Amino acid sequence: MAATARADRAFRAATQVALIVCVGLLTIVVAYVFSEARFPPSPDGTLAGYLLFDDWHPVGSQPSYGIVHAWVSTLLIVGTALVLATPPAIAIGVFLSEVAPPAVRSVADPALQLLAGIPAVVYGFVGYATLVPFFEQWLPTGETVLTAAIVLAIMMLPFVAATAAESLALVADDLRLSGLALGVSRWSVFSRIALRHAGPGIFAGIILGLARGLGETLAVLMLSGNSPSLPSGWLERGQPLTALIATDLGESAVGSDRYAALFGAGCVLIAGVFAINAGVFALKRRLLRGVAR
Amino acid sequence: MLTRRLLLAASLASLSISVAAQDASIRIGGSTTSLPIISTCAAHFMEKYPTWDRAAPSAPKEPAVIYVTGGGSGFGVRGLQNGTLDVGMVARDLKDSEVKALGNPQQRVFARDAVAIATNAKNPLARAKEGFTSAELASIFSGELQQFSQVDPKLPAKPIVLVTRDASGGVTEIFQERVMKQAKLSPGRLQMPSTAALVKRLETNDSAIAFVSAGAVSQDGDLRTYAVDGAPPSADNILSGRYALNRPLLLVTRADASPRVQAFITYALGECQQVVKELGFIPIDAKAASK
Repeated sequence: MAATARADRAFRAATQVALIVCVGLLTIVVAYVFSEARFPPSPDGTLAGYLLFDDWHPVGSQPSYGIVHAWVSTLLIVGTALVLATPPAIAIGVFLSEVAPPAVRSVADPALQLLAGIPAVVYGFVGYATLVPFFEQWLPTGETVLTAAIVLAIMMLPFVAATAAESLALVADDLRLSGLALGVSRWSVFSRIALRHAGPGIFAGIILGLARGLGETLAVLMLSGNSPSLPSGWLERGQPLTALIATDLGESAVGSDRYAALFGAGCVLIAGVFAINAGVFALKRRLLRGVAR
Repeated sequence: MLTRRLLLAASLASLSISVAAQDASIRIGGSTTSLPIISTCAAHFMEKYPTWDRAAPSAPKEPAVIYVTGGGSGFGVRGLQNGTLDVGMVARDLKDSEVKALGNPQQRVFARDAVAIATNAKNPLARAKEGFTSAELASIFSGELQQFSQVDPKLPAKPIVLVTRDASGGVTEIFQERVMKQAKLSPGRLQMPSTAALVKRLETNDSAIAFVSAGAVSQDGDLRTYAVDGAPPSADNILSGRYALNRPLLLVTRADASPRVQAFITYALGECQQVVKELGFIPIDAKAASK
């Protein structure tokens, strides 16, 4: 008896230590990124210039550090990818949980997991070898914001689809059965009962996809052109925040203005992720309130 | 008591062995452009001379070990200054401040690298132009001339695609300094993560123009290079300086370099020139190499 209690305590302590280590490491990383950044990065620049107006031109006699092109590229690419990915992903999720026979499901579920696990560079390279020459038939370069967004959408799709399918499958059977017993149609059970209950889970899937999209580096670097210019449309080139950091960090001396500017770009990325998560959690809570148990 | 003393003696002996082993090696670091040449040469050197005394009679009879790392030209200078390196690889002329800080180091040019202006052979420019002036290049790469028809009225009104290496690699630095001067590179340029990727892009895009290490394109049949200010990037023009877009690849050592270091430098300026040539860089006449 006493042995079990001791084992329980040890297990509890171990899990708590693991939690503290993980959260602590995460805090240290975020704190480090913020401590290395300077706003504005160079004494010659202004905060507004850094975030909104200046070009990214780190070499030459008068370097300027502006990341507006980068965060606009990130928003444009990830936003477009999300719009492209979400409807088919939810459709796939609904099909898998509501319509598909078990045989199809047993193949499609692992296939989705597999797709989610393919490394980004593979997606990037396939896009580079197929979409870039395709777009080049009409455009001067096949690398565009749209090219990057299409490939990113394909990368996000399995995350959103798998969570959507799972959340729909988790809706309790008695809810569905009660609905059917009351004589309403299968569509009503799905749209009025199942979808409302699965809504928060589907949202979580979209956030998962969004997080993958925001952090994605290599594929968007290869496909957006990695050009430090402000994209004014989907067929223009751009350079997302992640690509900017990956491209320039190797050439920046530790502690230099350029180094601080890149860590600043990291802060903007972190802040963006926090803001989106906070926004979606607020939305999710409102949705949950609609589903009174 | 006795065992303890024995242990101490043994550990001291092993310490002195490890110090000696470290002494018998030389450490080279710096420019990533020079890295493939020098690391290949170092491998050949270690194969040919298993111990230092075979390469230089005055050097000790110890195994020849050479470490070669990258880190960039700046690290080549800093590492030499603080003693991390025995030889710094620097892919540009030393600045006066650096020469002073290093106390008049020995500088040896072991190869030259040129920055070539290159396009696909099917590029419209390949039909119309044999070369460019620096001013033309500056206005093309700053994005001032955006279409082929603005460079030459005979050419189609199609946009020119600019391709560069990412960040400020050595090639970008020299192009900015000698061609662009105060002008900025167009933000619309494609930035490629590696020279190989850049060459691939030039091969597949008929509208693309790039500046790139001449070594990387000299053996590529699909690409062509252009004269700059009247001089094509031939080995003669690069060595004489008529083709201005070129830079020396230096090996820098302290004035009082050891016989081991001297032996390797001699090797780099002699037999290693074959490697320089094979990798597409411009070899140096050993007599002219001393500065």
